[in-house]
Parts: sequence; structure tokens; C-alpha cells
Amino acid sequence: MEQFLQVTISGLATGAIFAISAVGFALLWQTAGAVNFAHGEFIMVPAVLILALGTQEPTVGIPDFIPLIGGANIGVALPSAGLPWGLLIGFALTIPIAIFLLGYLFKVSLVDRLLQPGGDDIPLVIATIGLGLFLREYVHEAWFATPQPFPSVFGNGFWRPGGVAISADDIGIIVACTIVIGALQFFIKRTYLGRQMEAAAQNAETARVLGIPVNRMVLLTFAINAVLVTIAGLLVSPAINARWDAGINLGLLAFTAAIIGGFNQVRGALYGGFLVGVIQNWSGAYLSTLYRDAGPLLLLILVILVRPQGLFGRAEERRI
Amino acid sequence: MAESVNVPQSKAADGSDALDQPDFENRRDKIAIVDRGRLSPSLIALVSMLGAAVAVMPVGRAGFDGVIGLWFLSVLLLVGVNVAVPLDTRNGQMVRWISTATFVAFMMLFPIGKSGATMTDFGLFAIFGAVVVGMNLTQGFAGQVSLAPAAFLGIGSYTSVLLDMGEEVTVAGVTVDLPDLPFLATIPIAIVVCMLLSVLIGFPALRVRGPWLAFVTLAFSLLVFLVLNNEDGLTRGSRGIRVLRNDFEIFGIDMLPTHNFYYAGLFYLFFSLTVVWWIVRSPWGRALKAIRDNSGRASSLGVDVRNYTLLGFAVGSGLAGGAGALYARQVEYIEPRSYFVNQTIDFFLATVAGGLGTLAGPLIGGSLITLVADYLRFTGDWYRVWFGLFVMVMMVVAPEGLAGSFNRFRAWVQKRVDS
Repeated sequence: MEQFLQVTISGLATGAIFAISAVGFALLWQTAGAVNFAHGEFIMVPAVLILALGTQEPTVGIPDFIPLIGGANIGVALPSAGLPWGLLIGFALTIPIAIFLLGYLFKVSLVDRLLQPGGDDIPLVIATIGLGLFLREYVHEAWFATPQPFPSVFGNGFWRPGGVAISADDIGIIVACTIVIGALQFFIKRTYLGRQMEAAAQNAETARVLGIPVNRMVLLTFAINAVLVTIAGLLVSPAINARWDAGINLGLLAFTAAIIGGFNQVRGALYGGFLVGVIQNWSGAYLSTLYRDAGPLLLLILVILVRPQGLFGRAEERRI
Repeated sequence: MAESVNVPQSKAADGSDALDQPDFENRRDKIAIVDRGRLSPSLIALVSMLGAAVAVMPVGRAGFDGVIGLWFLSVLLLVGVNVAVPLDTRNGQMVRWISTATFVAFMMLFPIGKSGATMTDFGLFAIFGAVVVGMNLTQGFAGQVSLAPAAFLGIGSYTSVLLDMGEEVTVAGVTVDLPDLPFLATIPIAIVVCMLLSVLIGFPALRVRGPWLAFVTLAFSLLVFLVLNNEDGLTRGSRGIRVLRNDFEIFGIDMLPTHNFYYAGLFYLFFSLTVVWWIVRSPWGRALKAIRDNSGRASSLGVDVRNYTLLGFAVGSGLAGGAGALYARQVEYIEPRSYFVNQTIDFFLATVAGGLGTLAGPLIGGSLITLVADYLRFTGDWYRVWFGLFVMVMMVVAPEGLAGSFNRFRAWVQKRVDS
């Protein structure tokens, strides 16, 4: 029983992170119709940026962005442990950068050019797979190739109420994610701007007729997604370290969560995230540690077979 | 007046490759109205000489040393003739046939006098080229994104190697004595296994339109990697399996020398090209094309969208599986890492960069991830960064890929020449 609780709580913590990233993924899908196959890299890049910006040593920094040519590998010496303050400063500095790079630039340079209304979504899928490769390999070549330890914002504390070991990191993650999700829900459901955003997502044509600046609302979604992936990067990295190839797994689990829960609903992506986290930890604990990721992936295939709109999603009609 | 004559012609040139047969109505019109011209002996003689030069020049040299400039000039001239001569004339057809023959002859004659290292690269090109040909069928003709070619390559490799070793393996506590089949017999088995598996995972994914197959195949790739990596009793896990090439021959030819094995890969490449060419020309290919262009309309006209697409995906995956059997012998060592998602992404981007829905595209794409990648090895892994950037820029600027861009360029040139 203790083990079950322990596994479930850490599963909920992982799930909370998946939920946040899956919500970002689902938001882009809803408002812009964009399927982002580089979503995992979108989580990995802010994590790396936080680590680079949040340390006090002046030599640690951004690699040369200009010389894309030929093996200019700058060996960045990342410190193994930083103060949480440094981390939070790095986080605060990363958010505007992420909003610009992963929000604005991504939208303007790829999504707007490749996604014609009523058109095929395959070109964007291809381009984001290319973008994922680019980001991954760029971090690998220009930054670092070995996983770097990433300190947790919540410290390394442990509690043992009733024999159940609970780490401060897990509790902190669950609390932080709940606050973020609650704030997001409040923003979408209760504020004027959020209502406008949701209207633009549900029916762009009607929203435009009603005088809602749809394009600006879509841009806002991309900015929100950028903030969400930055938070996800900050929270997930202590467990998996900052590494250049983290994106493949993270991205796959994020959209597994989104699909299981239901692509077309923020709520669905939320539940899907928690479900994936818990199932992943259960299959790790009770089936085999080697097949940790197999549980969610099998569930994904099952959901697509039985209920392609997702467990909590609505079926959509399709226009021909 | 000139306009009305030009319309069908430029349309055909625009559609732009051998696969793009004009439909029946159109063709009848053309026979009636457009004079397909006569063969020009001097043009054919010139093109044949160019072709012969391209094919023969590197023979017996260590590389292209000493002839590189002349060789490139000949290739450029050959390409130039292809651009200049309209495809729907007799001359155009003949030029196309000679160019194809040139490619085949070049690939057949190239190994003479080459080093083993060069031929390893070319062998890899042939095998990966076949995988990309299969992907191109799935994606370019059936219009579905599959992100599992590396997984199928792996399944093909392991199936073929395990059936060839004749050792006992343990799966989930059960010990099985595996047969020691000849290598050639394991290739069709690998193909069939991959086709069956792809039907199994494609069936649910293709129930609805959308990028579902991409998600399911990506999940499948990870599952396959987990199984290959963790089922120690079956696959020896991350230690990998050493594959020896010295114990078999094909039709009495010893497969140990790299030069000989290269021909096995080359034969498989031609085989898969032929399969795709044949499919695309058949009624099935027409149905696939209709589905790709507008699936809703195709299904309303009575095309069974799901089954046709599924078959396209299955054949594409089967070709990857057969290539896996050859790949295991080419590299002589297999381990789960070689079949991870990275490799899939390479195949995927190669397919796209080469040009979807063309026959030449996969060859260009396949060379990008083998020959060109090897040439750029001096950059470390920076060429992979460029490759990602290149694909992004290409999707924005010229989404039809390199082969498609060539076809568009040809259409543009011929329009200029006509008017």
C-alpha cells in the first residue's frame, strides 16, 4: 500500500508536467490547427536556456549563434548545483526569450506560411519534424552532448508521513502545476481576453465577424504555449537532467497525453496528462522498469482504435 | 491560338514525372491533336554518348579523380537535355529512357576499381534508398506519414538474422530452437512479417483521417526499440549481434567481398523501384492518387480509402523490412540503437527532401543521408543541423522537394521556350 501511494504520487507529479505540456500542445491544435512534432524540443530548449542563464559564472552563456559552420563546439562548463535564486532568475529571463523564439518566431516563420486555412496539415508536420531535428542537433553540437544535472526549485527534501516517502520535488510540482492550470482555466473562462481567445479557437470565422482580432488571439495562444513549455522544462529537468535528446520522449508522451485525453479539449489534455503520468509509473513499478513507457504507448494505440476523439473529447464532423 | 495548343502540353509537363500519366481522356486528345514528333537521330546519338560518358568515366578509377570536372559537365549536359526536351514527345520519352539506362549502367559499372570503403557507402545508399522508396510510396502516393521505417528496418534485420543463426532463444521464459534458414529465404520472411505488423498497427490508425498514423507509428517505433533493447534472451539487448557475411552465397557468388554484396543491395533497390513503379501505374496507384488529392471525393466515388491506404503503408513497410535483412549483412553488426527514432527521422527527411510522389526523389533523398552525409562527415554532426534547417526552409520555399523543384523548373523552362 505504501509503495502504491508512493508510486501514484510521483506518477501524479510526472503527470502534472505532462498535463501542462499536453495543454500547450492541445491549445495550438485548437486555435491554429497546428500539430507540433517539435513539442518535446520546445520543452528541452527552455530547460537548457534556464541552465545557461541562471548560473552566476560569467563564462557560462549562450553559444555562438552566428558560426553555424563547422564544429565550433564551445565547451560550456555548467555548474553542477546552483542556488534556486539563480534558477528562478534564469527562468524569468528565459520566458521572454521563449515567447519570442518558440512563440512568435515559430508562428510567423513556419505556421503562418505552411498552414493555409482548409489546407493539408502534412507540410507543417514535416517542417516541425525538421525543426525538432534542428533544435536537437544544434544543442548537441553547439552546447553540450552529455546530460547536465539540473537542480530542483523545490530542493531535495523528503517526508515520511505514515511510511510513505514523498519528495518535496513531487509535491512542489503538483502544487505549481495546479496553480498554473487553475490560472490558465481562470484566464480562459473568466477574463474577457480569454473568452475572446476561446471564441477564436472554436470558430474563427464567427469570431472575426464579431470583431475579435483572431490573428492576435492565435499569437496569444503561441505565447501561452511558450510559457507553458518553459514551466514544463523547469519542472521536468531535475528528474531527467538537461539533455539534448530529452525531447523525443517528452514530446511523444506529451502528445500521447493529448490524444488519450482528447485533442480538441483543454480539459481532455489535462486529464490525459495525469493519466499518462500515473500509468507510466504504475507500469514501471508493477510490470517492469524497462517497460516504463510501454504502458502509455499501448494505451495510445488502444484509444486510437476504440475512441479516436480521446477519452474526454468530442467527436468532430469533417467537412469535405 | 498558341495558347490553346500550349495548355495540355504545359499541364502534362507541370504534372511532371513519368508516374504522372495523363488520364485516358486526355491522352486520346493528345493523340488526335498534338503531333508527338519524330525521333531526331542526332539528338539521340548525342544523348547516348553523354550517357555512355557518364557511366563509363569513373570505371577503373579509385574515385572520380582526374575526371571529376568532365564527369560533372556530362551529368549537367544530360540534365540540361532532360530539361529542354518536352517529355510528351517521342524525343522526350527516348531521352528519359536513355537517362534511366545511364543511371542503371552507372550504378552497375561503378564498383570496378573502387575501394571497399567507397563500396560500403554505396551499398548503404542502395539499401537506405530502398527504404526511402518504400516511405515515398506510403507518404508520396498514399498520403500518410509513417514514422516507423527504422522500426521496420530493425524488425527485418532481427527477423532475418535470428532465423539465419540457428540458435536457441528465450522469450518470456520459453526457449525456442530457431531454424538455420538460408539468407535468401529470410528476406521474403522479413518482408511478410513487416507487412503483417504494419497492417496490424495501420488498421486502427487509418480508421479516421488525420495525422493519426504518424502518432501511432511513432509510438510503435518506441515500443519496438524497447523490445529490442530489453528482450535480452531474444535479441541480446544492447550488446547487439555480430552478423557474419562469410557463410553464404547467392547463386554461387560469394557475398563476402563488399563489391559483391553491393550488387545484392543494388538489386533490391531496383526491385523496390520496380514494385513502386508498377503499383503507381496500376489502377491501385490511380486510386491512391485520388485519395491523396481528395480523400473525401475519392471515397464518395467508391474508392475504399482505408484499404488502399493501408496496402500502400504495408508495402512501404515491407520494403523497409527486406532492406533491414540486407542492412544487417551490410554493417555486419546490429544493435537496437541503429533502429531508434533518430534513424526514422533521417529517412523521413530524406523522403521529403528528395521529393514526394516521384521516382527519382527517393534516390536523391537516399543519397542525402548516405553519400552526402558521408562526404560531410568532416563537419562533425553539424550537417545534421543544416539538414533540419534545410528541410524547414524547403517546406516553405519549395515543398515539392528537390525532384519536384526540378520538374517545376523544367515546366517553367518549356513554357518560356514555347512562348
